Amino acid sequence: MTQAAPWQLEILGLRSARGDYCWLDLAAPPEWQSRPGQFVNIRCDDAADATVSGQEIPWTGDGLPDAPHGRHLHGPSPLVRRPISISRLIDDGDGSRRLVLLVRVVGSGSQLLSNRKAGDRLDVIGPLGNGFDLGGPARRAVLVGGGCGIAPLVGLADALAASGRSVTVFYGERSADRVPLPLPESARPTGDGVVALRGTPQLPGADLILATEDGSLGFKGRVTDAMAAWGASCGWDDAELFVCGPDVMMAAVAALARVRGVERCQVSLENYMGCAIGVCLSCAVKIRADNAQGWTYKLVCRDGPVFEAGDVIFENKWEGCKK
Amino acid sequence: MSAAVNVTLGRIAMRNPVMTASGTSGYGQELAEFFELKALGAFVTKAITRAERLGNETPRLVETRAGMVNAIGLANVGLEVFLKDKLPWLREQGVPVIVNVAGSTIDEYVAVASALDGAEGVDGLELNISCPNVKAGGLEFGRSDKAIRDVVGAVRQAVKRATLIVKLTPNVTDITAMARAAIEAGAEALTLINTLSGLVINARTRRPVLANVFGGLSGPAIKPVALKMVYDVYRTVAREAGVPIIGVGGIQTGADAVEFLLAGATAVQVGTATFVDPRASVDVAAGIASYLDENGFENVSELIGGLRVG
Repeated sequence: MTQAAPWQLEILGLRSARGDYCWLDLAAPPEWQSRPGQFVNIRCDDAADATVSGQEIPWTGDGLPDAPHGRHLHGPSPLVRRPISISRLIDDGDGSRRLVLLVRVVGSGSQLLSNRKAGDRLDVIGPLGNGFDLGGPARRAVLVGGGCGIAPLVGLADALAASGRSVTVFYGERSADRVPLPLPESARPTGDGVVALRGTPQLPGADLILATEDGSLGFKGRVTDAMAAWGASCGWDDAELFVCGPDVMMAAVAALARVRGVERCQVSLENYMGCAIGVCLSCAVKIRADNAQGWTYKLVCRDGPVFEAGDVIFENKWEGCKK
Repeated sequence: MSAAVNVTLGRIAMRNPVMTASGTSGYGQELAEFFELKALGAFVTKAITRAERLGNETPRLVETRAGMVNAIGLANVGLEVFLKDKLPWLREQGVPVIVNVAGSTIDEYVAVASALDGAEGVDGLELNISCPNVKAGGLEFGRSDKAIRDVVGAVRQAVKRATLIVKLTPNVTDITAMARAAIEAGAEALTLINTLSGLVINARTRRPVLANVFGGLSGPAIKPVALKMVYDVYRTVAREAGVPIIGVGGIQTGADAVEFLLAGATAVQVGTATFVDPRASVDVAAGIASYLDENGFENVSELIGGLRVG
């Protein structure tokens, strides 16, 4: 038996954030061990939960938009769990531990989660997956997040900073109103300038560089453009990349890493999971291999979610499942 | 005293009526992280084919209302790796092992089945003639009584030791005709049902969600369909032939399992529920036991086919 067995974890707090996100704090079992980059798999249905009964909740479990041409006549009860990245596992002293998650409301499961209240219990399996390898020799850690991909990077930034590395976090979003991170007053649009914010609340040990596609906050443009501008002045010597975000973004960062000769680039993949324990085989991704076709399938849940960027054949298929 | 829950399926003695459904529990090691496999009546593996199969392109699975549709495409390690790397561990777990067998030709079914029949630690073979998600074989063997007779008959000749189980598809006009063909060709037990053929469409992209276009629907949504098919096959064919039925389709609780026993099943499989909770199958077994005790039964066999009609 492992630590993964379903746990009933109490919600300690739930704070909504910009961009349809919420930060969720759960009481974690004292015996849990977790590495940055691991995830949990959470049951989101709860027929007994009075906080959701009677509400109209969009049904997006089948990858469809929120019934834009009509109204569903009964509420959703998502069947399979939802995999959520672990943002932090914090030791609060006195033996109690706190699991911090960042949830983006994208469908029925995450909507139900975001409607829960402190004191409720959630059925959680985890921690699952391999997590990032923090054992590389590079002294400069460059973390790159896109959208909900920032979730595992906050705890990773803590761990890397604690190990004495300089940590720079790039975070890309479409616009300022979708950024869930708490930001200082000084955060503002910077056009084509790359400006680092030091010690923001969720990233106390890191420099944060924001990029928005519409220029409403930080660098105007894609996160890889901000990285290129930053790299032009700082260089990429002694740097290692840690990336989590949409496939297209991760593929672009992986390409940049290759071109700039960055020694190592780890990516954490997102995928549609049926079970998250390696039995349903739905979250298969193509990983380069020495065989006739040049690749083999690996499971994001069990073999990942973290892979070496150069090994991944990015297909951007999971994006097509989302609304 | 607690009610007896053990059942017999061909030559397989099961300590309770609950087994895993093929394709939902890998080769056992994944689930063993959550409970000891010997808590089950039997363990059914992912389908095994002669050669390794990588499976279909992704996306392969999508949730639907009260269910999910999958098209994994029989991804598996292949016969040789199964015998070398998977079976030795599995046979040490103190649980009867049933290996699901798939193929695209009769020769392949026979080759895989006879190799497994000769391997130590294989108690049963479940012929998968009902997978809706592969281009060749699978379902095409399960949709005509003649094809069923051919493939089951050929495997019957080759299998000497293991109990021969045939898993049927619901995607037919009359499942009782398929059941009859399987029994007459030598099936010692029948598993029903496999997934219902289904299609999930994304209206925004106007494309199918699954790379395979269509897939198989499973989960609570199909339970009434599965119950009806178990009921029909039990009443028209299986009871008289003395061939036990393994009921599967949407089982999540002990009560769900009891419904299948009442419809005529001797044993049940838990599939999609394992994705929701890895411990679902052992919870179902415990639920059956508590139902028997609460309702004053002494033996689970008293439930089989006991549906009160009229």
